[in-house]
Amino acid sequence: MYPPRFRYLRAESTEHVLDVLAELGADARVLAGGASLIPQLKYRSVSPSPSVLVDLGWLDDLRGTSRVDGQLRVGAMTRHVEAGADDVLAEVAPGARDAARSIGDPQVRNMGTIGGGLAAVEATGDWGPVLVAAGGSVHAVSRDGERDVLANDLFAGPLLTTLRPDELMTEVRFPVMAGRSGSAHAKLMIRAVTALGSCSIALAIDAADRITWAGVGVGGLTPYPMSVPEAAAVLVGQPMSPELATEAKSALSAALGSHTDVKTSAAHRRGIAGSLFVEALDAAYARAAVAGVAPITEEGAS
Amino acid sequence: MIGDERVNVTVEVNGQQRSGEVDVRMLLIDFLREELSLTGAHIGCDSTNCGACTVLLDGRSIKSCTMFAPQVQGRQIRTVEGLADGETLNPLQQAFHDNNALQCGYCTPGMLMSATHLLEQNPEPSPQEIRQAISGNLCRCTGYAFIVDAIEAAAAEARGA
Repeated sequence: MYPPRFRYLRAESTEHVLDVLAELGADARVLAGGASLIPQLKYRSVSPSPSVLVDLGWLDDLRGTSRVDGQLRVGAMTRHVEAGADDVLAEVAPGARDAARSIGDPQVRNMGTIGGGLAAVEATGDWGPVLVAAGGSVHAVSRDGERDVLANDLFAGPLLTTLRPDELMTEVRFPVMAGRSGSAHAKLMIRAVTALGSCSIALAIDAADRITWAGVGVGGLTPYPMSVPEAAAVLVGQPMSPELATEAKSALSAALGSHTDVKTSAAHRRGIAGSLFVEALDAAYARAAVAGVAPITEEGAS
Repeated sequence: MIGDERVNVTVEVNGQQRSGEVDVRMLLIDFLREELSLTGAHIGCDSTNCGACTVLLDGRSIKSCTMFAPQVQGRQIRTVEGLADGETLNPLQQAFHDNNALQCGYCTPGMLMSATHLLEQNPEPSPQEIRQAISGNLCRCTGYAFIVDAIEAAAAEARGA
């Protein structure tokens, strides 16, 4: 399968990309890893079809992680496999590590990037729910300036972000939560191609083990990654209990609505969402509970 | 006009410099098969699922049906043709032969490249790790068990076990 004709340009720098996007706007698209965009181009489902493809593959300054100003910043061209192996990401956002390691299969993880995965807005994408749950954002740059877009405000619809055609996503930013925090990403998949859904949760607890903050994101169960503040609201201010989990799970179910498609029915989706929610909640809470606890020394527990 | 419609792609394949002048949309799998006559990598699904097109790019397994040829300019690729030494199968290939790890052989080059990548990263993989490593490669014939056995056997032999 082949996409419609386009002209190819290798990006030499971020500045070069911004110049091209400023000139061509929606006629151009950037190519990150290609793991999402190339199949879409081959299926001819990208609309409008780009006249120019700008290959970001050599922009090494868009790869890697750094900790700046209370944020963990992940370069948009960081491959999923690199994100999944990053120790800082694992510490700050363990749910993100879960997600990175679950995407697709080894080959797809070697090819795809966090920026490309977010920009593709595939219903079953993993980074969307993770970033939504974490209250994270993406950093977008253009000739007109820079801005941060909250994950909640990033997805306009299937395969569509709210970024302008002249904007380049350069970084994905996770807030570093102080104190006892944890996150987890639960996913249902039968091999890579039949990812049925995911639920991502990030939360923080206080010294009395009460939940002080929570974020909930779902993927694959709605047309595009979705935040579920209704479920998060049930959790905040409460100590963990099975009853709390059940109540929050009901709020999640109600919020999911009646999305049905060829893969599965609305009722099945609500069931999947509920199971994944409880799994992610238990794991996120367990991680928060041990966060900030002194590690066991070689001599034994202190 | 910005951009090119055709480019010259020069890439190191199995240790040799190879090149071709192609339409920028040419998929890497077609570049390997049609331009370079390396027909070991196969097209099974053309949709990023089956992994029959798997080759190694700068040491990492990738699906070549989901890459355009210009994306590998100046990089290093290894294909199944680079495994054997002349007529002598390498230990991984020999293990596939000895363990009945192929029937029709269509998935096999992709399996071999994914296994090669695994063993270079992890010389002592558990059966679960092996299954994870080949989770991007579909096989319709064998039921996978003998493939896992073959990879395990090759790893053991390499460790002198």
